[in-house]
Amino acid sequence: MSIHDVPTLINQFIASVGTADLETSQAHALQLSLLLASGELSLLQFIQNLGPSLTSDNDIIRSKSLNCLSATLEQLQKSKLSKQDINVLVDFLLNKFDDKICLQYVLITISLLVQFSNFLHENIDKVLLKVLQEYDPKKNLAKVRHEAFQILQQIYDHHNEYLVKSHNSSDLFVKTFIHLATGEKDPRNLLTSFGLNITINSTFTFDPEGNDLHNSFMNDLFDVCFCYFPISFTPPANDPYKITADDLKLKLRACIASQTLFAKDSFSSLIEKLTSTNPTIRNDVLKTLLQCVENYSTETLEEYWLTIWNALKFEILHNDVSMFKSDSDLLYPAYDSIDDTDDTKCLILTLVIVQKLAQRLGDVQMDNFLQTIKGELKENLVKAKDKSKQSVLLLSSVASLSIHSFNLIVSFLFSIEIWGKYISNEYRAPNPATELDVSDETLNVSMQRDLVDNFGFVFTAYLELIARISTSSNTQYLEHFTMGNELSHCKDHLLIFLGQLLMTSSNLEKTLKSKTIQQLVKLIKIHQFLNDNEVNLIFGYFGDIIDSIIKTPFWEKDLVLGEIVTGLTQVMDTHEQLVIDNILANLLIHLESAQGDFDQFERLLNLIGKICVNHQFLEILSIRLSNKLNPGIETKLFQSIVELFIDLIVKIQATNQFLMNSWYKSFVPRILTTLTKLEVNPDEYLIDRCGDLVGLIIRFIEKSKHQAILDDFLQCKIGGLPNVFEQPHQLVSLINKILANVDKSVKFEQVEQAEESVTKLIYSLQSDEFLRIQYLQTLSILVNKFDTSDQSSKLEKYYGKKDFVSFEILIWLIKALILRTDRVGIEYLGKLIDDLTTSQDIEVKHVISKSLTILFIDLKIFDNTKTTSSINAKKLISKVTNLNVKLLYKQQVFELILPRLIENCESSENHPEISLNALSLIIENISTKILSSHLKEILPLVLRGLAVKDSTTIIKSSLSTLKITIEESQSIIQPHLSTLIPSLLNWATKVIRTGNVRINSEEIRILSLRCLILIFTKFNGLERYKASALNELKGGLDDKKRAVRKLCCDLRQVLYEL
Amino acid sequence: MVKLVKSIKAHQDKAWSVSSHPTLPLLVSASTDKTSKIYKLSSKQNFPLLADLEDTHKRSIRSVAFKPPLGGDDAPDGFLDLPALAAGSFDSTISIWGIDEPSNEYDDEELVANQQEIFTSPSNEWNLMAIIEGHENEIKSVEWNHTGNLLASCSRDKTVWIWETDPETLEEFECISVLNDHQHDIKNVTWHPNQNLLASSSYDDTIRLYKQDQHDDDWTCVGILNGHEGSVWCSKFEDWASPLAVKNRTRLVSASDDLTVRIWSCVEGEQDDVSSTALPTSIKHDSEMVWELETILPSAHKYPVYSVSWSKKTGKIASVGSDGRLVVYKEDEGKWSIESVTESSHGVFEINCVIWASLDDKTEVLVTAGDDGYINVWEV
Amino acid sequence: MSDPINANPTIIDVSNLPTRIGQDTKATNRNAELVERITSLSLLTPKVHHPSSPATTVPDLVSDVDMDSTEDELVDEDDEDEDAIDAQEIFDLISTISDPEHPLTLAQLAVVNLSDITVTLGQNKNTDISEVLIKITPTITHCSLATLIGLGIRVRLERCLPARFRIRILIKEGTHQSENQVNKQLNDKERVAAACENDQLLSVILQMLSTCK
Repeated sequence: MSIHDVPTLINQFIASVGTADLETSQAHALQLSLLLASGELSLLQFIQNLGPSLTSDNDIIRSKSLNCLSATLEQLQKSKLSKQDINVLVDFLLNKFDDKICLQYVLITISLLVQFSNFLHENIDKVLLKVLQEYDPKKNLAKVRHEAFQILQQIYDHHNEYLVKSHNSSDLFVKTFIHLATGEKDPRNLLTSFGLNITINSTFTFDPEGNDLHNSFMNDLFDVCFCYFPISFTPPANDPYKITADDLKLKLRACIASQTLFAKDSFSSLIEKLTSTNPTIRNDVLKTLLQCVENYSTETLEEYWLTIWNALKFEILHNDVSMFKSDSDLLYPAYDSIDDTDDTKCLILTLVIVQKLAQRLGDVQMDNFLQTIKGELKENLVKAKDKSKQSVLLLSSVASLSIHSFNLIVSFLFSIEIWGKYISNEYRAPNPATELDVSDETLNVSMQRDLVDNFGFVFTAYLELIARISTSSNTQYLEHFTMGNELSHCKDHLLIFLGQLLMTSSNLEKTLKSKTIQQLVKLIKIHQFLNDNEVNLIFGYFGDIIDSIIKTPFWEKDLVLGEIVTGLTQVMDTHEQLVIDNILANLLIHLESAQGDFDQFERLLNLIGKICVNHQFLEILSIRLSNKLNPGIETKLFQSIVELFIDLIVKIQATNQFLMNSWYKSFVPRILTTLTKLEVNPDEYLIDRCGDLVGLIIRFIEKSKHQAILDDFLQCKIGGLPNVFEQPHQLVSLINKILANVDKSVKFEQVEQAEESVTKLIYSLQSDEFLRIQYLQTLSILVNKFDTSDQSSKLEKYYGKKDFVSFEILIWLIKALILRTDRVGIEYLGKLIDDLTTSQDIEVKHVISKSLTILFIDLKIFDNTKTTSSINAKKLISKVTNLNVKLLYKQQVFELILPRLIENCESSENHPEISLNALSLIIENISTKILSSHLKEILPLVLRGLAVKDSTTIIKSSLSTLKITIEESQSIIQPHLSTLIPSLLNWATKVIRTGNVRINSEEIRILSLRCLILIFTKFNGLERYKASALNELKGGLDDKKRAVRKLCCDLRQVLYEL
Repeated sequence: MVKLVKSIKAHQDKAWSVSSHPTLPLLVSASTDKTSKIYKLSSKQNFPLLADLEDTHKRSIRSVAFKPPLGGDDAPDGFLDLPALAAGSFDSTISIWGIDEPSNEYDDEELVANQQEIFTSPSNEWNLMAIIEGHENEIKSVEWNHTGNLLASCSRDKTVWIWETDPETLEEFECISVLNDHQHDIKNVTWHPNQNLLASSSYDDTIRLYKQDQHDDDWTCVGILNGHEGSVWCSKFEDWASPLAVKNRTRLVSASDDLTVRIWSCVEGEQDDVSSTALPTSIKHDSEMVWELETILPSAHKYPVYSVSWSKKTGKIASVGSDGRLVVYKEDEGKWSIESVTESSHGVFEINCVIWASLDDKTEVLVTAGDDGYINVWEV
Repeated sequence: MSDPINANPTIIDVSNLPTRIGQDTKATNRNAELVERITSLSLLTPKVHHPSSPATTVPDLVSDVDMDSTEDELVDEDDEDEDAIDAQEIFDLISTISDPEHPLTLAQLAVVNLSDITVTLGQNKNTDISEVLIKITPTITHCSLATLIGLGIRVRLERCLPARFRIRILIKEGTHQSENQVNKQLNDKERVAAACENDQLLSVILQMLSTCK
């Protein structure tokens, strides 16, 4: 490449530029720039080579030639080119301003030159002046105007120190900017314009007082941005610059807020726009206002706060502020998430601005401010007026800012003429004036409600203030404040007043009582505000209320009680001991006396349960209640205590886990002894629940202790348990729970013997269904968890035998194995399915199909979901993993056998309905998740199932599958509606029986109705079924079962609304 | 004893009313399902459905009535009359239905001779002949006079309207009188089977009677029957042909919400004898008729009584109502007694209407219409 | 409605409305359930009803509404025991109807009260008539909406109760100026039937019933 090619390069550039392939032209430009850089080509020579095209009469050639120049310079390092070269170029370009066609490239080239290090400051003024005088934005296209802005941008970026120093240049710069910015419409240019405006405001100093020019600058700079406010812009479909409405909004907002000297115009203009009725605009205005308040100088704000305040208070005072809730711990909710079209957002923003404003003021003005708002709002407060809440909101948001303002405002609010007169009697006595005042101010209930609400906001302010102070590091500040402040001074009066409201108001005034409780609780929550005696006092009130409420009917649903419970749970962590001493103690006494009345006893237990939210409390409870646990206890009571603990442990462990090692020493033995020594023989359910409880506790005992625990149980060292492996014993179900819940790593000595003896017991228990199944479970869990030996021989053995019990054992062994997806287990499951589909012996088929339930059913001993599903099994604090169950075993097994069952269902001969039945039995125990992916294959069977007229199971499972299908995928169902609806109606409303057995059991009727309700709510265009369906359903209205009748009514209601 | 002959599931919803043709074995029904159905009263043919009159009324059809043949139901044989009927609806209109002259495949003699067969064959097309509008709101009852040239209708608008028409063509229906004597909703109108005497029963607990004034043809209220302590749902006159009828005595039976069925009577002095023309008629009906409560039938209903019917053939009375009972009363030596009570004759449903009718073989039957949409035919 | 006739009625909190309280037998039931659940896993007692192929047996199909199905009823006795319709059930049906002018339910406004509902059941479901008597308490004595409310209740019940029920709705004695007129209208079968074909009225009632749960 040499300079000889320059003409060619230029020509090729001119040829290629503007056509599709940008690369080539760029490449040529690069070549040229390289030649220039290397010095092989001097700028002079370059220009000479451009000469002919630069001066061509053909506009296109001319502009392309200039384009070539700019493109080349763009590629050139900005250190190249001598001062000389640049000056020449600048002059050359400035002379081409009148060449409209080329102007764009002229401007581009200038803004390029500005970036060169050898660009002289003298040139700046030349350029600015030229642009100011000889360039008229109105006569040019957006893209050209863009380049003009670029020049200013570049000048600022590369020469700002100079501009800041030389006032003339900076003034010239500003003038030029105003010249360019005026009347701009294009969004991209506006962004630049606002940007420049901001930079000007933030770097240049102006003196409008002393300098008229600057004064006019201020007006113009304000006008060239504010004239667009509030800006709205919808980007065109294919906008190359991807400018959003928000880009513009935010830039403009920043721009208005960037110049404190705008204040004289901005505030008034903004406030004026506040009168708009469109919330989006109002929110925009308020946000801008907020930003101004944040950015403008303190002096400015001290000059304008009154104007702003007058505008803003109006916003609050004359609007509905019901969105602000006194029971919250925050004065206003976070507003970013709220949509701009929401009016309530305006209210919040207003409060925020008021706060910000007060924050920015210096002490002197701050006091004026406080005095003013007190003065202005007083009349709303002296008499409980409709604006009182609004006023208190305003005051509270200011009060929450600083100790100073807090004390000032609180002392104001609690002064005699305002709230003092209500809350304190000795204020009242001396002053006859207020005596009158008071006499016509006797509070009615709604006033009392409002008053308590208003207190609430002040308390909230207190909470927020404390939060503020504690973040602002200096803690002795906080100490000092909490030691004594205006609110703590009237604390006693407050407590008495609220106490009286709570205790003396009519019991019908649930709202008032609830509000009062909320505020008392908030007082307790305030850091160091109340001492223990005072908290005790409040808990005393609560106790009394509870005492009276629990004597009324349906008390467990009482609102006030609910409020108390919520309150207690909120302060539990800080005042646990007090709650225990007051509330719990009290409740336990009631529990004592309620022993006779079981319902009351249970309701009280539930109440205690609701209050119990942390494990400290739970442990206390376990101690206090365990004295109830003695062999004499009525089983019903025992049962509900056991279930209470199960629920509580699950609840609390779910939120934050705790180890329960200590429970094993005292509580667990207590439970077990009570159970074993119980005077009346416990029923299976009680044993089952006790097993659940103990098992649950064990799961939260450190893994390391589990071996010992298991041994204790096997050697009957605890709670006087019998050895269930020697003699059949109903407590085996409890042992099963233990085996199920100990960590799977623990060793079970001589598990084979154990299995042996259990097997014997099973054979011996032919007649005792319940106990035999229990032992089958024992066997199953032993094999599943503790027996690692190969089971194939054992399975072979039982598979060979023909008697039922052996078959049962086989099934339970297979279950044990497939749970851990053991190869052998799967293999034998396969054999079963073979027999099911191929065997000629119908009995065999039936038994197998029935046995599938066992394989798929979820038993507590293989499943934690009932208790700790909310906790990730891996994350148990005790490190325990008790189950030996593969996560996806069901899915695996299901997908293994599904195709074979379907195939067999579809084959007409050899009793397909049995496979259908089998399938239905499985589906009953399969989660929707697994099922949903197979619905399409299964639906045909479901439809066939609904045609079966004599098997409750088939129909039931067909229906439940159908229900899932309707929920999961409408498209699959749609084509079948015309047949489904009538047959569902049939199942729901008719008496269908074979022999004396009613096939469509209550459950089936209910399922059918649920399906129908789903159908008629999810699908459209079913009007044609309305009349007939309504008619059919009349039958269901007289169904024997209330639940069915209920659903019929609901469905009919749905139909009538079609 | 009463025994169920046939139970016809005629309607999808409440069956409100039934009417039978005086001379032909035709039965028509009216229902909330906005249709009327015509059946042939023939147990041999198992009560075939002859026609389904639909797509005409926008709301429930409350009342239907067959037009008596020209010259009354005791018109001489060999007299030809095409059957027609009126249906009154909650949509405040009345529709008139009839069949076309059978195609001339028969000559007149044949026609006259076999009219019973021909007019009751399903091949006849039942056509809408007219829609009568006038009432402000729901029509509760329609009824033809004995000669078929007058049609009376009543409505919740508290008025009774009397329409005049040419009984042969049934083209024009001209309203010749609007009677607004009742204070409330009027439940039922009924004509005397032998004279132009009209009775209306009302929600205002009274029954009113109307006659046409001789000199100025105006219809006026000539009697009020007070005594019922609840809405009067229905009333029927005793036919002069009834075995127990007594000359110069006009009797009316009424059924009411107050659970009672009452018989009212009016004995007319010689000079008031409608059939005599002995004296100048100028002073006649200016004087009101004098009605008295003759008796309250033995109580048999435990819920409102909606309908009664008085047999021309036997003089027996039948009543039905909300309690599902079908009660038949008989009179001997002026003493009324309950002949039979048939419990839940429409299952647990209410019964809205009962009429006496005769089958094609001339056996007399009771026909009832119930909320279950069934029409039941009973042999007595 | 622009200005409610009774602007601020006293309101009963939903949580204090009467509900069906769980039977105390539940403890024993639970045990039964458990045993049932476990023993159902037994293969020794194949007491499951063996399905035979759908083709072979056609079941006898009997409609509950069918009048003459008494003998089936008798057979029915052994497979299911009956939850008779009682006052609470009626209350549950109508308590959630919403008042035409307040955003509240009739129960919240104490227009309907459990204690004012009487149910009289007939012996035989298929032949005997049963009766529901409801006394409603208008929020104020001149409440012109009493009729509308009553009508709403009647429609709801006619839609939800089997045909054997006769529904009587009365204004509670001395709670309304024109007690008798309202009662007469509310219990006039024909008037109610006609009203239910009046579209405007029906849409208002639909509104009232839309909150029914």
